[in-house]
Amino acid sequence: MKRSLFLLWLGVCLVLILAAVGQSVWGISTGHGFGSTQAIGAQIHQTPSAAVTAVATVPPRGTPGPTFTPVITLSNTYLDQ
Amino acid sequence: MANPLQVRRLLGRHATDRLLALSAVFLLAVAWIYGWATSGQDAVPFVSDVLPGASQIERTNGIYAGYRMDADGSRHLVGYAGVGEASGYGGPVRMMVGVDPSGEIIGVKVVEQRETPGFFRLLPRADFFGAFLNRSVSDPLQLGQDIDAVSGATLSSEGVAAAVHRAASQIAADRLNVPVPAQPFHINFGIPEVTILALYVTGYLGHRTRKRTWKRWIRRATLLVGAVVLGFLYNKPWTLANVISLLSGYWPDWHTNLYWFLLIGGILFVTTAQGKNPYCSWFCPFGAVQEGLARLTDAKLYRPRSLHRPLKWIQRGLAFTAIALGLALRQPGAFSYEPFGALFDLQGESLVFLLLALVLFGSLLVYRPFCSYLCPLDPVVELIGEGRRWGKDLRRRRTDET
Repeated sequence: MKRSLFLLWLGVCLVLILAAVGQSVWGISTGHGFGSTQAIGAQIHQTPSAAVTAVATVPPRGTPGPTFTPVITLSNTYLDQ
Repeated sequence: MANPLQVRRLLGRHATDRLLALSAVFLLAVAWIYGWATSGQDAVPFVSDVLPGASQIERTNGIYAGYRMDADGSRHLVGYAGVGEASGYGGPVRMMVGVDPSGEIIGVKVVEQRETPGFFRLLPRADFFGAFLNRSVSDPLQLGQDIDAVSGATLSSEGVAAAVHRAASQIAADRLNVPVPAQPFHINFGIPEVTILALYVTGYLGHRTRKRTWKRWIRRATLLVGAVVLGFLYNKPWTLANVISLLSGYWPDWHTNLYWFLLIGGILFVTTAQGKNPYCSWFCPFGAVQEGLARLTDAKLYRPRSLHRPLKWIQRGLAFTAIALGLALRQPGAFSYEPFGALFDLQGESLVFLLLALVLFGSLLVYRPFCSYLCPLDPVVELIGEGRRWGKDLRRRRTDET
């Protein structure tokens, strides 16, 4: 009796732990939870132009000169994709 | 090419266990490399958030200048934006800060953070980021001076404040020519640091003493102090997040988080040098609470002989999975499933509170059930101990052969 009760207790604990770990993985991978991915997700949904900014302003490696001037187009291009 | 017999001889006793331990270390190394290669977040998308109205952005020497384009084609400077980085609880915190041409902070945004989700969420809830707005770049921007820490997330608050200060200082110096006061050098050495040192010394003396009664009372005292000070007062137990941060290379600033170094350094030193675990049975706050509950009902250790070994492997598997995910995704706090924060700080996900309730109930029936079968830190100590024993085995064999 004690053994089966103990195994039941341990099984429920394991399920809870796995669910907590799974929730973290889901949160990070979908951006609905937390961490840097959430910031990216929120950013894309709230300000689509910012996503375009990211595409437009990242210079290729070895771009000469300290300054570059990308122009941001305010559009929903990213979301349309 | 080594034959199976040679491999077995190299592995020595407990060959299967050691082979599995080696495989686990290899897979963790793969997870580490994956995390290293895929981590990092581009800050550019955040510029328009901290410089509202800016539609044209120029970047020079890591600082962004945002301009508003008017209908007549003329452009007006909205302000400057920069990124600052500092250590939080789980790893580096990167903040983007927007400053208007007069030196007033007009936007603050988290670019990247590795904090424990349940605790980091407290910051926006307390409008912590809003505390920086409308302040001058020449303000101290320091916790305890002009910024209040969020209770329950002090280290995260410190990380954010330090990162904002660095970004603001860089903009002030590079673009605004505003003198910024240097942050005073300060070492955090308070009650938690004194307590952890005292616990190591007392635990060592307790371990050394031969009088059983003394040992028992010393252990009770260290457990009580651990539960009260490291648990309920400061919520600073050893967690899996600490282990993942250590492995990820996310070491905090020693002068702001000396406790981290004392706690982890002490455990690593004693475990590797002495082969003893100085923490779990001597002053782990969560272990102390379980033990206290067990004393209420006189609960005994439960180790069913036929199940003990497979159950230990389940515990090791859980710890391995959590560490591998933490390393691969570079999120030390996200996979620390221990219910310590739920007990000591009443913070955490609902699943963790359910787990806490079950563990506390189980502690009334079985002695330290979480430590025995669920805690992810036990396998970490076991792994270090196994590595130490293996090394000793190899050295002894080499001596015997010569």
